[in-house]
Amino acid sequence: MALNFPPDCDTPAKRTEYCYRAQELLRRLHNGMGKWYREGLTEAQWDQFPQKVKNRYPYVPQLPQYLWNDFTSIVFDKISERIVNKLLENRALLLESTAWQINVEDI
Amino acid sequence: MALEDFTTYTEVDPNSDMTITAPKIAVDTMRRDEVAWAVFDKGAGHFGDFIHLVKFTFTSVIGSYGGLGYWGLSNIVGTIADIVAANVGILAWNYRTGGLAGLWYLQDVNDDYDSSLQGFVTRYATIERNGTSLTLKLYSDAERTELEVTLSVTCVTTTYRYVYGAVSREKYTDPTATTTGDIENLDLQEAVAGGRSQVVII
Repeated sequence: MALNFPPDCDTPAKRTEYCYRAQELLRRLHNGMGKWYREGLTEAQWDQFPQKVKNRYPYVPQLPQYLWNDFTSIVFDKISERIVNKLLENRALLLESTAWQINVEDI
Repeated sequence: MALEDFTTYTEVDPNSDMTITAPKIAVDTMRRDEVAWAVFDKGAGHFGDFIHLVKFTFTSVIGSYGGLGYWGLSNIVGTIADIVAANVGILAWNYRTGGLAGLWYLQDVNDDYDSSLQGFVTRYATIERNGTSLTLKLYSDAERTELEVTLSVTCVTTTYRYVYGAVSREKYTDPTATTTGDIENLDLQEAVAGGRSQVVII
């Protein structure tokens, strides 16, 4: 698996935006899974997860520790790493942007 | 994994701003221009890739560019100003009025920085270096099930010798610019040296 940008996401600025949004969506998924592990979820709440997540983690009222560990180490950490790597790559390109003439002394 | 014992750390604290017990460094109105730290020498080349855990609660940070480092790695011993001047280290710190969490990587021309406004709440930090990627994840719970933000910077693979439990800013004299907070439960997630083995007789 890899982070592949859509065809129209073709500049460092767009890709940085994409990565931050992906990171936020991953954070929300992480916290949803965390709630499932910590407190439990109704089946209706579980049903809001992406299909791939539901396939990997079928519904039980409360996610057991070994599956929480599986999620954080196998799913979350791997996806987070892919996003961070692309984020850092594109953010570094933004630092060199020549889109505008900027006179910092006038800021 | 064993928590770091901060009482074994080398402490420089001329104005007694830090109260150190084994798991915790309590900082009380440390000035922004203070020269203070609590550091441990792990030996040259000790820290390559790592995952470190620490908890912090800042109740007051007053003044721009003030604040305090609640975790750091470097190959020198000194304040944040010294580490910046030497340009070799990684710092996680809280600074600025309002409580801005920052991750700062210093290495010659490869400096990088990321930050997020967190305010004055308890945060559980996971700092991870994996090759040239360095991240600081801040959680609101000890079990790290509620992720608040991920900060990330690019780094190189320099190894480090010293770990900081707390390090002062040493910048801009202003007696009203102070930081108060607690740093605790630093876990380097390393095997304890000379660890015990267990024999199980069936």
